[in-house]
Amino acid sequence: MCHSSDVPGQGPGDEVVEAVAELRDDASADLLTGWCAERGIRVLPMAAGALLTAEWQRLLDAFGARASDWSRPQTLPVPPELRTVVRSVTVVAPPSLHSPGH
Amino acid sequence: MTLPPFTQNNQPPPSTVFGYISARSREGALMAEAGTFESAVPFQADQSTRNSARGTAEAAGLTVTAESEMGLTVSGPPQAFEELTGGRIESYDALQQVESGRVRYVTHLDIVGEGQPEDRAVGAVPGADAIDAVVLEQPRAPHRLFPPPQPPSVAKFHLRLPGDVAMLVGATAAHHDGQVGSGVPVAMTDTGQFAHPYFTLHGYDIRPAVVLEPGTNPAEDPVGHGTGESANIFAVAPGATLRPYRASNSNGLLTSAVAAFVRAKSDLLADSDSPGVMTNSWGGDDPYPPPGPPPAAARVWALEIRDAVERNITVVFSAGNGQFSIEAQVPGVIAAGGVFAGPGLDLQASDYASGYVSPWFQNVTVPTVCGLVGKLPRAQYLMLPVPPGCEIDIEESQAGDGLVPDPGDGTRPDDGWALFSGTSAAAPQVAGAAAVLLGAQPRLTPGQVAEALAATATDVTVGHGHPRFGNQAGPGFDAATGPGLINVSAALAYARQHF
Repeated sequence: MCHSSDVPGQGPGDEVVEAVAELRDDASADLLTGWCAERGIRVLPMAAGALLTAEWQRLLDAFGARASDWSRPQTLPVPPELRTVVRSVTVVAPPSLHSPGH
Repeated sequence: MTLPPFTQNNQPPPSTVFGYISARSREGALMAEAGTFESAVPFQADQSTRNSARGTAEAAGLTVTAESEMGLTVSGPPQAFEELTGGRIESYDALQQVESGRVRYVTHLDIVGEGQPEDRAVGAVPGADAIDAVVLEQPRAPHRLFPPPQPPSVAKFHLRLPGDVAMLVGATAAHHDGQVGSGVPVAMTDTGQFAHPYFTLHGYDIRPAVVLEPGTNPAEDPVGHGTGESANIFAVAPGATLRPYRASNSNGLLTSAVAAFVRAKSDLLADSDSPGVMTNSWGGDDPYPPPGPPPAAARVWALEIRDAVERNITVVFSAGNGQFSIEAQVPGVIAAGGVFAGPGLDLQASDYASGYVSPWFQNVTVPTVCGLVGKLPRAQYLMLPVPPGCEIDIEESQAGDGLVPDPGDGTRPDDGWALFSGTSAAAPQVAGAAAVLLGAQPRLTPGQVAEALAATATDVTVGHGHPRFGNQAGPGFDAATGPGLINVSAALAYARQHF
């Protein structure tokens, strides 16, 4: 149901996307924040995790993932250096507007 | 209603401002005070004077784009004009005759401040011997294309704002008692907020939009969704303060929705002890029934929303238009579903709106309570203000492509008005209702707001919700409409009695 003008299977390239990082219990986001900063990914702390925002291709490159249909949620592989802190990273598809035609 | 010739415009000036610098003439004649126009010769300036004027302008950060024997045309950021004059650039709207005999508000700029002349668009440059005045460019074509502040008349049955919506949700009596949600902040994360003259005409308080995606314009709404649906807030709570958060990219996709929500929450919490309301007319979609518990990313997101509720923010999410999404189900969220009021004021469940018992959270049914939503196939129900020529302005004006003939909403694709709704409209209506309650009783918790709205809602016993879920409305609480359509005045009385 997501509103997307891109062809499935092709990434949006320069489009900014959001990814939700689920942190391990009692883990601090500091390691993740530093790692992301080195790769040009913005980190916004959340109540129970962290929100990562970056251009789609930058995110894929940083996490070593391949492009797929960005209109659906996509789980990214957690790099070994982050596994003590991060349980999972999921790119969230842009939500749809709750008005007709969207 | 007589429209005022000038109105205040709280929008920031454009990034580039154009103007004219009048160089001091040989004969001392001032262009801005010219009494006769038989000849321009008395107003001509020496080359050396014009050179000096140019130097002063460039030092302030302006670019000289042309020169005549009387002055210079310049352009630059508003800050450069402020540097030059010591004044301040402000926007205002002037009611003008524009193309095709139409009358519209057109944005103009002025230089204001101590020592600045009263004349609009004219500024003084203290201490600059070579410069008589600065005159800001007046829009020859509309500075922005402004639609009429009042909607067109169309044949299709619809509700008008603010009156019809206010009446049907029982807000009118509250308004007469002065309960309008005065100053209650309502943060709306959406596609953007356009300065439609409808809002100016009614004097609604709208703050400049916060943008989350770099490079997007806070004054634009490429889709029209945020602009149009925000009118529902003010129909119920005309005294509320809207804080728009633009979560859309240049294509109108909500690529920064989560960031905008987190930012809006943070801003509300930073401002006051009574943090206000968040309204959100969007969401994801998951398989229904779901194969298992919420996925990890959804759990993180749900906790972020729950955190807002626990910090005393009243959070409203639209129930969805057939979508099944976690946002509306988060415990403590007020999920806004849909009720349709027909020409005879008969109420029925909107078959456009999602309604279900949550399979993920105990004791949660979506919706919590309902606002006004149209019906399938197009839910063209509320006449809402939108940026002229935006996506919604065009789409809703076009004929439908379904089996039943549908000529469109009867408006033009570029007139800045469109008929639409969805549960996107219900959420801001419910948010407005929450704002009215919080305006009267700022210490109400989100739970108390929800209880007051639910306990006093008008029961809807006819119709069914979206066919994806197949729930029928019936006497009492049901999974199509919850407790029914909000009744703001009754909810206000309930809150006063119980809390």
